[in-house]
Amino acid sequence: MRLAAALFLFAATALADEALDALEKLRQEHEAAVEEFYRPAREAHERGEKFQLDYDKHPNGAYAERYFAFARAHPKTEAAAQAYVAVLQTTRSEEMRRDATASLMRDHMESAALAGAVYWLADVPGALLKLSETSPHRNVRGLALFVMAEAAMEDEAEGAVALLREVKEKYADVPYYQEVTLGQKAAGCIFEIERLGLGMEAPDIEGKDVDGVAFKLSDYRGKVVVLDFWGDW
Amino acid sequence: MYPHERSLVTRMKDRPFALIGVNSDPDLEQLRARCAEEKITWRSFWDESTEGPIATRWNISGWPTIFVIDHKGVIRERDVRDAALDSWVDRLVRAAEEEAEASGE
Repeated sequence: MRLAAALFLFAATALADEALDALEKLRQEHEAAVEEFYRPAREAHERGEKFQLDYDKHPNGAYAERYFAFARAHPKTEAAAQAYVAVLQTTRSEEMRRDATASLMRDHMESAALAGAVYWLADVPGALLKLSETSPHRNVRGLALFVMAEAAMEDEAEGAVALLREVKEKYADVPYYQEVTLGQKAAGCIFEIERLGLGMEAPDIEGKDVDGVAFKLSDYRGKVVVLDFWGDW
Repeated sequence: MYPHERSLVTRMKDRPFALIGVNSDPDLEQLRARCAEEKITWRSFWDESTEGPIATRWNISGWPTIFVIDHKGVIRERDVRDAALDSWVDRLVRAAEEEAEASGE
């Protein structure tokens, strides 16, 4: 009996690994297709020319369908959870998005992959609250709480600040995007609510200009200032 | 964006107005070249990247993001463009000039 159980477990694990490998292959294929899609524009840019991309032919739509089919074929596995998250990140179809979020909520609330789905789960009533309380993964709980707070910023500033403080206290070191942590993001959101509202005195900025000369925003007091956060891209 | 900004700066020359940028381009040399090329004469803080200290503190997640600040340093509007931006600037600059005149008398 014990041997049979062990063999079964072994077979199940091997199958799960196989599914993850197959998904990884699909991901690589997708990545190559995206690369290929942008290639003419990149080459034109290198020649100093412009190239108009036809975004209707972007491979994301086709790969969303394939991720979706893959998830359906491997129900209740970690590979399925990752595939549903990939669907959310690629599809433009509302219906497919609804199906993917419903499957994630039903079968995959314990998956670490949900870290990549928190913004899409914001549309599902109660999903983020549940995730922030029950996910076994600390980063998923933190991200869920932060996205809840961000949503609250729109119409309920006080509640948002309370949630943001909680994010800062419990999840400050959790990565949000590239080098940015949830602690920095939460601090930024609190600063925005408390210091950057219409009718508030603009916080001073000290820095250097493009020629390396130090100056301050408050040097321009007495003048109307249009402050423009920009980049040449 | 640049042509509108240039015309705003030209139109408001010698009036109580300043266009101040916070720039997030990582390559300073290239940025200087682009400023010369595009005749970007207004001053910018150089913030090094989109995750630079100023953009991070001000919680900026989209570029461009615009704040309209009056002559007393109060934030009056954000994320306005084009004609709406022009009319905000016109109104606030006039108010600043009127106040300066009143206190000068």
